[in-house]
Amino acid sequence: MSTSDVPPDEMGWDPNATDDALEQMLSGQTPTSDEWRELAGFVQDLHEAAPARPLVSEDLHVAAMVETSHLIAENGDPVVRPVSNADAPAPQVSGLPKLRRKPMKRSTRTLVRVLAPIAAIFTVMGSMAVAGALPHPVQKAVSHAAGTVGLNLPGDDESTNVPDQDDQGENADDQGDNDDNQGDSSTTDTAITTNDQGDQSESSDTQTSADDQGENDDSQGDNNNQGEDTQSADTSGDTQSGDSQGGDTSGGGDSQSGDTSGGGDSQSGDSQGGD
Amino acid sequence: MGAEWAWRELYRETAPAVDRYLRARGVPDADDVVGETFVNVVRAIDGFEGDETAFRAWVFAIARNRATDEMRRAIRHPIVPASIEELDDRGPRGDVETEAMEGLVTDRIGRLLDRLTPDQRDVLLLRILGDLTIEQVAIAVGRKPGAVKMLQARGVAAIRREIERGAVTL
Repeated sequence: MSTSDVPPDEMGWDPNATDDALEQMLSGQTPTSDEWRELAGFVQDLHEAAPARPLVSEDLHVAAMVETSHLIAENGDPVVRPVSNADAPAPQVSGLPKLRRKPMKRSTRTLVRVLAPIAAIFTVMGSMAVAGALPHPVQKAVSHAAGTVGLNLPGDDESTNVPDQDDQGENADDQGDNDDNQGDSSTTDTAITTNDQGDQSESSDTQTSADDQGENDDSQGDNNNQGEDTQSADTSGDTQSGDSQGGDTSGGGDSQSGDTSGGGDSQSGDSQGGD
Repeated sequence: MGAEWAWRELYRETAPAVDRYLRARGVPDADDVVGETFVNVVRAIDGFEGDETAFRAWVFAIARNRATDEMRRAIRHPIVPASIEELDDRGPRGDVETEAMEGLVTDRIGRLLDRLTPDQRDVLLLRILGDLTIEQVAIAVGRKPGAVKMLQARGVAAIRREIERGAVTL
């Protein structure tokens, strides 16, 4: 607000002069100029219109103030704090209240409300992931994610591939056994070789070779190869060799018995040659 | 927690001036408003910072806000005047002549104050009845001291004009 805002009829009244005159009147001095006579009368009448009176409700009001301060103190907040703690904390008259509540901040409460369900979901999902009970894609993803941090969880790939690999391993082991049996006991009974072949018959490929062996005893030497590799291509080769050996048995059955690992086989080869 | 004697000291130091200011503003049931003002002082004193001068201005700021609320409430819920029978039942009220004179002065002052704007009236009442300085009034009404000084000058000019016009005789 500036002096330009003052209406024309109020111009000429200096705010500072007015304040000085009013200050004189309030301090009990009589204005020196008649210019302020109206103002002096107004101030006097105002004092008369609203005289100071004894406050009959003083005790009631002070009691309300004390009660209010008690209520605030019971809530844990001191009513009056020292302006500065530079010298020392102000001693408390009544000490701290026994029950002092520290309400959680709103931001913390909101954070807990958000994080608690997330933590619960992670706990349940983690338990299900460890048990491998999650749905197929979820389990796969969780297992992959856990694997990156070094945790070994059952994954979908492992659960489907492991039985095949185990079977293959067993086949390999069995095949190894065949090799071992055949290598170790080249002169043992035919029954042992037959059992090994029976083990091999767990796979369809080896059944073919077993048939070949049944048709042609000379193919047992090839059967050793089948023990090393159960590919059907070898089986077809064995059949051809069996046929050719069948022709050869008339001439040299002994040589076969000496070369091949199965001595019993050579005997059957000899019988065929006799036939 | 403040002791009772401390609260009483604060009350006695400030309450009479607050009571006069509230009555001059025409606040109905000024005594209750004084009590509410000081209860609010207790509630809010934890956030107050300043010296004794600022405290007095701060108390009047609370009283001014309470007076405004009370005036608004009185407008929304006007008080029905008591009937003659009810006044008779309450018995004699004291010196009739004194009451009449007080009534005249109050009426005159009331008419003068009605010529002022609310801000001018508040500034003059706080300066005269509240015995506040310009700086204290500035705190109480939430204005700058220069603006308060200008409001005061314009209020005094308006009063002087009314008196010279003869609308109100002092």
